[in-house]
Amino acid sequence: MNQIEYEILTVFKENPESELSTFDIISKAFPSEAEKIKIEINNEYNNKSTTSEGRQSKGKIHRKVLYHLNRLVEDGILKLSREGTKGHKYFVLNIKPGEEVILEKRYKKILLKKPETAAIPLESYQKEGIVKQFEPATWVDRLNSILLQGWNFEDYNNLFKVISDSFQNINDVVGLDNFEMLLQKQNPEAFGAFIKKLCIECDDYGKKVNIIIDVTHLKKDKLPEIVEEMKIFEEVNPANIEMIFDVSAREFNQNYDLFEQVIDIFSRSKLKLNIKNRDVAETPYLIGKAGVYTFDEADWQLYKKFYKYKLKGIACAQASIAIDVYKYFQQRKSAKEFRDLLLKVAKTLLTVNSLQRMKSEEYFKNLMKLAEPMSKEFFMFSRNYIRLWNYGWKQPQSDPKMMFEMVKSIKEEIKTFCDSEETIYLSCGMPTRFKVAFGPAFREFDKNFSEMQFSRLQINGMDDFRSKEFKEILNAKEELFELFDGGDRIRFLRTGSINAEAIFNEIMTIMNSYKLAFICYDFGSVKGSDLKLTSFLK
Amino acid sequence: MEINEKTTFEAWKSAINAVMRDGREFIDTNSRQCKELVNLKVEVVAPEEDVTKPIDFLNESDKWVYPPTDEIENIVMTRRLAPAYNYSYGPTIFNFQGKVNQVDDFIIPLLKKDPVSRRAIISLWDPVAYCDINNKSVPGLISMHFRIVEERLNVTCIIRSNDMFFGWPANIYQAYVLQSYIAKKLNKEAGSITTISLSAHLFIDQEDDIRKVFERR
Repeated sequence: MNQIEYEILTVFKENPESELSTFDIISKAFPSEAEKIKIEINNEYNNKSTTSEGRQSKGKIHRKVLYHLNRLVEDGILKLSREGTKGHKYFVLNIKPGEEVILEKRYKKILLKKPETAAIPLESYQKEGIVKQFEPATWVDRLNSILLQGWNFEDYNNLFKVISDSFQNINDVVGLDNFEMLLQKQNPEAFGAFIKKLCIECDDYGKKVNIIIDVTHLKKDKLPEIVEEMKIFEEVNPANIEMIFDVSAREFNQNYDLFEQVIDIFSRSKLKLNIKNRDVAETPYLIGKAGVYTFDEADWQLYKKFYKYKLKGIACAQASIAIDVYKYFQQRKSAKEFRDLLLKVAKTLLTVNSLQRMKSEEYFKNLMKLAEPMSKEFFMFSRNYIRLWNYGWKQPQSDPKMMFEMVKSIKEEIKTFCDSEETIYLSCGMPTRFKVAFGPAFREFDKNFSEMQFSRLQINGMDDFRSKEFKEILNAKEELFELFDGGDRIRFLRTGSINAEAIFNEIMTIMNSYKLAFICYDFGSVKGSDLKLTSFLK
Repeated sequence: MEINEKTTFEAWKSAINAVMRDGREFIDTNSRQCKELVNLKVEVVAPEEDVTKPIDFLNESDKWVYPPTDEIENIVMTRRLAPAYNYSYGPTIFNFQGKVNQVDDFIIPLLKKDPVSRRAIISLWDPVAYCDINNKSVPGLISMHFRIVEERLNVTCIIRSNDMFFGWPANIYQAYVLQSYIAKKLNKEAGSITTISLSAHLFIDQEDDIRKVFERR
């Protein structure tokens, strides 16, 4: 057996259930080479030729490892599980759960074993495309999302390393709370370099990062600098990094100058402006590929009181399953069976949590290291997610009220189930946490969801706010925010002419008039800053 | 009160019947209505015959998900604290306060040297960690006593608070797993398991479920 193949297989031996990209494999199998290349490419103080050499080395090692990976695929030991964005390849062990294989070649021997995975009693629903796990290959051995605390990090390099390490243990998003503490401490050039590096890292790993700015802590004399720093988003236009402003209506109003400029920057770059309204929800919100994440409000208050300054980070979400509601009612129709299905989903999530608990030190090594010596508290606030796709909101010929009432009652049943399970585990001498939250699924959760049945919410200007239909939509959305305790988002596709003051007033109106915790102004469909309303017809 | 049965399942059933019949009613600190027998002793003479039968019975219901046996075993045999639990028995047994492996460095060598010793005690109650009036997350199983009688290793477990319906089946299995581990090292047969539940209780809201489980037999 070739030495490189041996190193590759050793990585899979240590991570038998994982789906690994070429990049992951190189980082684990050849850590010192990978680190050297990273330094050559990412160090802002390097000259151009060093950076270029780094890129060449990266290409060379990728090609070399990919060659051997392809040989292992040909030999049937590994399997190409998928191709991600930018042609990144992902590999898994090509053995069945519970199976054990010994490979012996030229005095080298390696034992590969794949443990049993969480049996999912939802096979028929999966086959019909009704039920979907988020990232099936990693849904047991990775968490969905975590939240890191900005003030715990001395500088961007330190933070970058932690994010990069944690990418190996999560499969969706890392949130950076109170990022403003770091932003105001470090020099502006360093922020630009950090964002550029982070962009590449997010693309390489296929993960997202959210930067959360608590406006309360922004110092007035730092605001011009901060606005300048935001311009990096125009330059880089990151697909996988989102900025979220955590702000009350009063603070939003008081910081007109800041937000006017932020709106300008984001609208020019066709990015999304995310506002978390602290008057409605104190807990942070995260945007992942699967959907929105947040914490339970009571848990968050506990965290703030006792753990905020002690923990570098906490787990937010463990595992997620989505239901394609439209597909379900197209194929099955029964509301009673739908209720039973959701309960089965909750039981499946419990089984996954059981595996995650037993192997937390193996699966989440980097996160446990980060959380030391309080690794127990790391999981104290996390939840599992049941996400709904095409569930009736803004869908013609559907009765959203009926769906709302049904999901509300199922939610209560599932809460009772979760509480009972915690009690059972406690009585067995295994006190643990099991919580399930509900939320909508994003399209990115699974590309095979049924076609979008709902229409997007477009807004052209203040006049829209006065329409009866618009008000009804927002009122309905308020109810959905109550229902989706795992977090929801209202996304406005801002079209028409872009005027920062007008948009500021629109956002102000939403924050003052509606109980919507998480607002997104999506400037993505804006073709130019002076397009007229009539250019956009539904 | 004392119960003595040959098999685990019969012992479980007898214990539950005893609590339901003779238990005094009271409301616990979580406002749940309970029936309780104080200092209930349950001896299972031959647990190896059917030690997982109560767990298998509980698994037949689709109203709940009972922890899998490998997870139940893990809790008592894993030496490192799995972070997702508020506490676990394994680290306390095998690495008490980071200083003492109560089994490999004490129980086993002690009983090898002195098979009739009465000192083979494992303590799971750590006063440093648990003597805090605000800390409710404390272990139920607080000590285990191992004795060799007629070449068989018997174990007695003290459980301060015992949900006899859901908790006892897991506790007896945990005791059995540890007993088997030690017995094998001592080259002895695993003997009886006795539990002394300082509060052996059932919840009134469990009564229907209890009846359904036993009706299936």
